[in-house]
Amino acid sequence: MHTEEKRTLVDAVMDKITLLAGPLTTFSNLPAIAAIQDGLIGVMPLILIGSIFLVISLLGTDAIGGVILIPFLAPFVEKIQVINALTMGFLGIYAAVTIPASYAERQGLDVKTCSVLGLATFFMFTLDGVSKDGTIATTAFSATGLFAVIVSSVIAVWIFQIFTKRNITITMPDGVPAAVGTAFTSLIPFTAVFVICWVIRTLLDFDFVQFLTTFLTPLVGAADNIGMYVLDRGVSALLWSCGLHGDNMWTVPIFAPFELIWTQENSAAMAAGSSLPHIWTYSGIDRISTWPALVWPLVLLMIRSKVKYLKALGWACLPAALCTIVEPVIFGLPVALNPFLLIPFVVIAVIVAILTYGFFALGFCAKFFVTLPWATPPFLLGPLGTGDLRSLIVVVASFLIGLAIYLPFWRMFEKSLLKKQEADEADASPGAES
Amino acid sequence: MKKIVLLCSAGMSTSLLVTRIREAARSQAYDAQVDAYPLSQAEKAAAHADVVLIGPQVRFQLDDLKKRLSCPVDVIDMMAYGTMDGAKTLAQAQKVMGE
Repeated sequence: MHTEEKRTLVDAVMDKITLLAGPLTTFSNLPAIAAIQDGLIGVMPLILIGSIFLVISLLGTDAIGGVILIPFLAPFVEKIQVINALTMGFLGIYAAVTIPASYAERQGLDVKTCSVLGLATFFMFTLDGVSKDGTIATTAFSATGLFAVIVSSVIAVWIFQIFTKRNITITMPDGVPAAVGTAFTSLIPFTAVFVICWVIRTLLDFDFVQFLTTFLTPLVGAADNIGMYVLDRGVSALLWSCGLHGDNMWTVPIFAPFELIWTQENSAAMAAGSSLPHIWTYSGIDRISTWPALVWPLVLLMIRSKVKYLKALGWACLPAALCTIVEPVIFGLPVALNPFLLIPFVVIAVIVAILTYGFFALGFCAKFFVTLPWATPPFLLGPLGTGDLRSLIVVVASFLIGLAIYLPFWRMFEKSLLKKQEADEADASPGAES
Repeated sequence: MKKIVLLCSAGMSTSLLVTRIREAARSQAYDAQVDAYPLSQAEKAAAHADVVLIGPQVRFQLDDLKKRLSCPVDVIDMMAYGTMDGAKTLAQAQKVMGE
């Protein structure tokens, strides 16, 4: 009877969250949105490499901790930062290749054709030609141009698709080699896309990037606030508590482009030696606080548990959990749909999000200026990503807050399992008992 | 030989399970190739697969993947996934393939 009651409670919670999951799934599975996500994943190696070289270069300056950590590097700082400027700094231009490619792949169009089309469209859409002395404006090439990239990529592939699906193309008579035919097939859709962008950018002189910087950037920048961050973390935890990948489902499709822009702006500010504008970055404050608070305490409690299978599972989950790979804990313990742990899980996520953002906003710790692979253990990610050892305070405090809030709920959970374990043991050895 | 493909968000947590499934397959003398990939590479990874299994945390992608992929797709059982139970997951894969 009792368990049945609990199951209906969980079911009720589940139903509520499924209501939320439905539209989110539909949104993140829209071909254009999915293509943007996949395209951004495609440029991650460049962001990570750019980040690593920026960190290396800064070891030759006094930007981290006020002392030059590796004096040998000092003369080469600017040279090393070239790698950062041309990878992470040109994020937009690379995304202008990967987003159309992902979009084409999903729509069953030719990937190579659409990549070329996408890149050219991006240039048409953002550049008003090359100046007489051979220079071009590179503003759009950076993360600042990311929204322009998204718009130009989606429009380019979308128009291309309309033309090819309706067969508005030049078709060659039989006998013309296939490769020649393909080259001509692209002519009409390519021309249409380019002319549209050229009219907008060059004839009407409408600079989309400039427009965005003037009107949207204040809004984009304002999105980096404690309310949005807590909303992000809270909803993500809610989804994880139902065993759904909250970050993949909610954070990435909605916030990733913003986070990447903020990361690159911080990184550029760091290289320029000015103060960092953003608290919220890609794989930044969230990754040094969320899992240390939500999963690490559970691993410790499992290891120390009297319930045999929890103890074994705790040790098994430990190495992955340190790298913030949390699925074994979420599904093994499980946390997902666990009536005892659901509530503290979400409550901790919200409290830790508020405290973490506050800690950085009040200047107790230097801000993240790079992004590193997400599976980097938080106690390494913090110091490497911010250059500030005080980021370790966030990791430790998150863990302790999580532990304190979980404890009463854990005791109830463990008691219910111990009862079951005792009953099982009694069943297994009835002779010894009597 | 059967080709079993596991997919999750980044291919990391399913790669933990891959070794367990390979061990289970070896002990049953079942000839299978098992690999884990991120969801973003679904098409390429599943090109010659006999079955695709996805992590329960990305189960919201099931319908979309079923539309995009030609082989059978299923969500790995939550408990089997959490406890990294290779034998149980292998049995699930065999069942989905109709063996």
